[in-house]
Amino acid sequence: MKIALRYLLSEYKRWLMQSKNITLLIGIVLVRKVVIVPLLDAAKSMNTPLQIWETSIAVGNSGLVLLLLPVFFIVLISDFPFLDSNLYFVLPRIGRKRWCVAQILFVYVSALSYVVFIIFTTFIQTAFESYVFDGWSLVVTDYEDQFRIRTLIPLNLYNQMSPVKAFLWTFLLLFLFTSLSASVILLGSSYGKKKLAVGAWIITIMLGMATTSLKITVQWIFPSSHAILWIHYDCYFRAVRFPVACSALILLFLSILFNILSYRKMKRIDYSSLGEGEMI
Amino acid sequence: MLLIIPSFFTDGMILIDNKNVSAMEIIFTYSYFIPNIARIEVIEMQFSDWYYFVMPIIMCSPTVILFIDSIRSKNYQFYLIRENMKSFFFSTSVAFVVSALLMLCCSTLIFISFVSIIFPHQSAYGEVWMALDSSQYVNYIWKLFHELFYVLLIVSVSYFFSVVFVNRYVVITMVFLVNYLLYRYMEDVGIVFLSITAIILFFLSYRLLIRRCLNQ
Repeated sequence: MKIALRYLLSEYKRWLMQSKNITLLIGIVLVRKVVIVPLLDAAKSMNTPLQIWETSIAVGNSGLVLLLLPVFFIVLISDFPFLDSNLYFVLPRIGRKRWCVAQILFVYVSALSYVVFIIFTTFIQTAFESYVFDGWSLVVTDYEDQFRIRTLIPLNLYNQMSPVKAFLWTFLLLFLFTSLSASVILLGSSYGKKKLAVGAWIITIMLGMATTSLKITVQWIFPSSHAILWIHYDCYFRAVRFPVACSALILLFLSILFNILSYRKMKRIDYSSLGEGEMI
Repeated sequence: MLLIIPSFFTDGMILIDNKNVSAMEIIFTYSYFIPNIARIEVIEMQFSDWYYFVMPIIMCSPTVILFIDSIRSKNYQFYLIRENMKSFFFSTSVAFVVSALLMLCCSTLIFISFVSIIFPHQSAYGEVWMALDSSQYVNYIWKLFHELFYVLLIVSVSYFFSVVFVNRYVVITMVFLVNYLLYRYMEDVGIVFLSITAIILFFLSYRLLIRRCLNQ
């Protein structure tokens, strides 16, 4: 296990240092335009502060941002697993099983890093104009629709739970959904169909977002719908449309299932047939 | 083009129920209001914030990727056997400019066609607005003309960064950020300034390209 962790660390450092990561700046600008600037403008107009986690909650519950953030993540890990000429030297030294375990651990570590980075960048942009107390700000609960804040943090959220609870669930769902995206890429790569897997996954995300915006029951078939917290609750009544814990378990179960399938396939595969080169 | 054309419909300048709504929302949600909006009002809102968001990525990505690949793989050396560096620079820079301007022109034509089909020539308010129509068309044509030169500037920036960094991700991100910082002030900048800046950037790119290719 130590060897697998050491290999994971080297791969993680390589992933962090790649030049593709600069495209995250585009993601940060997008999040700022869609979520942060409207919230900050509303807070300034009303002359009230925001709650410290509200922007992060809005990021995790915005349909448009949740459509684009996984796509950015897929671009960042499109080279994963790293199958270059080094592989033929690495495999005899660490063994196939440890290599597979390192790739599966990389799925979760990369997803966690990505989500923490997004949350951190939203946090530092609004931290100095926020308060820490666990209660929704007037900016969010204002009943007038003039600032369109309801599209970012709807009634379904602030009528049902406190900001800290909403933030924790949002963070968990976002992390599980991102790790599921990475697991899909790993599964596709292990079967030599990485491009097909990525294409199918992006279409699944788009269909999920489309059915969520139309508010039809079939939305629960798609994993991306399970990643949005507010659609699990009713606007006013203490009624749960779909338990959040079940959504988290579904996303976790799918991620583990795909990782197990990848592990079983990768134990037996001829690695020279896997290399698809750089995808994006 | 599939991304650029929807971005033309996303500007929110029409007031319905005390809210600014975009052309896309009017088509899908407030379709009963369509007869009250003349097509020129929608056409004038073509260059929205979302358009400036996607424009540098969509217009520059194809040519940037091909150009950087040709420099990195030293493919240009086969070209230099037959022609000279000046010719190589000229052909690549023209490819950048022509592809971006063609994309803008074609997407604008498709956008105007869609709007002409969906929205009426005159709004339901009728003759009161007729006197404004001709000046609105002139304003739009001038805005489009100005936008062509702005796209030329962005293309020159992308070419310059391509020669400097030779990394597609860095170039596309840098062009995006430059555009994001500049587009708000674009309307105040004259066509002459945009053209001169573009020419200077192309000239600098040429000098850097010679140095880069000779050192390889």
